Amino acid sequence: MGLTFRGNTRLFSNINLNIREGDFYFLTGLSGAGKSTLLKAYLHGHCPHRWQRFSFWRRPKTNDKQRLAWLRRKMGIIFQDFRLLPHLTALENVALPLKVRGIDQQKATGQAQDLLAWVGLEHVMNQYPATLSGGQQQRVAITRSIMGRPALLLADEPTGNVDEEAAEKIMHLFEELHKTGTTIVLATHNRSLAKEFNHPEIFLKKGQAFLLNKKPRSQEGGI
Amino acid sequence: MRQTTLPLGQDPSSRYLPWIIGLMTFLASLSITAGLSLNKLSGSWVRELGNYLTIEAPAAINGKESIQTEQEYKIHEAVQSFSRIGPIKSISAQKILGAVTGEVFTEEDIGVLPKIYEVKLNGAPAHEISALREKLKAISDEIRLEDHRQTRNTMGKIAKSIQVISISIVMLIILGAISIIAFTAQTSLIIHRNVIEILYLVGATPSYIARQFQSHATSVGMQSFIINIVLGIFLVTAVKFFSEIVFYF
Repeated sequence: MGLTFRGNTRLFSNINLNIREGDFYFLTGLSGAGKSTLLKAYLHGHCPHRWQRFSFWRRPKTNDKQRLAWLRRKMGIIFQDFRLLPHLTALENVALPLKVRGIDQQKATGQAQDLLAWVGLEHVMNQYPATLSGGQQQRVAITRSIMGRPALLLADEPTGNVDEEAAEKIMHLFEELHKTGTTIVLATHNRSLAKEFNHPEIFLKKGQAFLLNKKPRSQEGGI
Repeated sequence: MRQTTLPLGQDPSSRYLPWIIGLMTFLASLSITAGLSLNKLSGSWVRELGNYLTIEAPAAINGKESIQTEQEYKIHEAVQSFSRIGPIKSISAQKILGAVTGEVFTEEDIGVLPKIYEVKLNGAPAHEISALREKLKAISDEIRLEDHRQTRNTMGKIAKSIQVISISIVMLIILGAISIIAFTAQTSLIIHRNVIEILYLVGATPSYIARQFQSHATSVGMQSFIINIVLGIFLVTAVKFFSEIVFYF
């Protein structure tokens, strides 16, 4: 994939990621290397208005807004700043992906309650994000991202805004998700995290991607 | 669990929107009502005025009743080709004058007043009216023929102008209301940009977002409608109350 910004600033020249089902990659690089941008590109921009600022060399056919929504439902995204909706409770935030799909409210609530219980947040499900700690907010955000059973989970610095203990818990949660077969790409500037959890690392530098550590168990090919 | 995910009801920009829209629609409906009433009123004026002429003859010429009778006969003869109505009865004139001045008039009082003949035209052409004018002039120079069609035309023009003004006011109010709604929606989009962005990222379709705005707009519309109705009831009650006071005094 190639990516240019406003048609002239080239961010990535030729990145070809071959991620298979069940893989776990760390996406690393220095600040400004383009980790978040790459994840955004995979998610097809932040929102359709900004989408036009990006021009892809091989642009996917996502002009159809319904198709774009369908594509995004296949992916889950986690942000460093959680991005929970402040006027909704933890439970309502988690049920959101099912709600926008038009799934029955009772069913969505039930599933959200189960998932929140799984991540150990059943006692705060009726609280608003502002009353939760950073670690709790990030776990709610992770739960929201996996609510729609995404094929690919994109995490942008999920441990960037939480303390070490919470970061450890969050990383173990990702490990658990990976064990259930979820495909994960986790962007972080903390390369020691990649080494600690022993997953392959895609290192971004000067618009190029390099595969470090080892290749994932699931594939012979690579970047 | 709440039905909407966008907190549009909490927007400071749309807090007073139902009141503004309610007031504007109330003013628009007032303007329409006034325009329609005026249209109806002017229509009946135009019909009435356009179909009648008035002949005003002196009560007595040099105090001679015989001449008066002769003159009356001649006038009757002149208006034969028209569908004649007049003269206005003495009792009717007493009532009209009594209502205007607040005094009691006797038949003698009325007798000194000029005699009024109403002549129904029934679509008579202009040259017949000119001929009638000549005939009346021949009877006496003091007999006056009032042609109300000019007044009718002026009244018609005034009524039309008021209608145009009323429609313009309604159009302006509608345009203003649409602009307010459009700008409020745009402001809401800016205020809730982050929420909308997250909704898109979790897979919301544009129609899902639009539905939230639509249901909010419907709710605002309903509130405006209620405000409009309340203002209407208040106005009708006030008008009734003040009219009763005026009649009392």
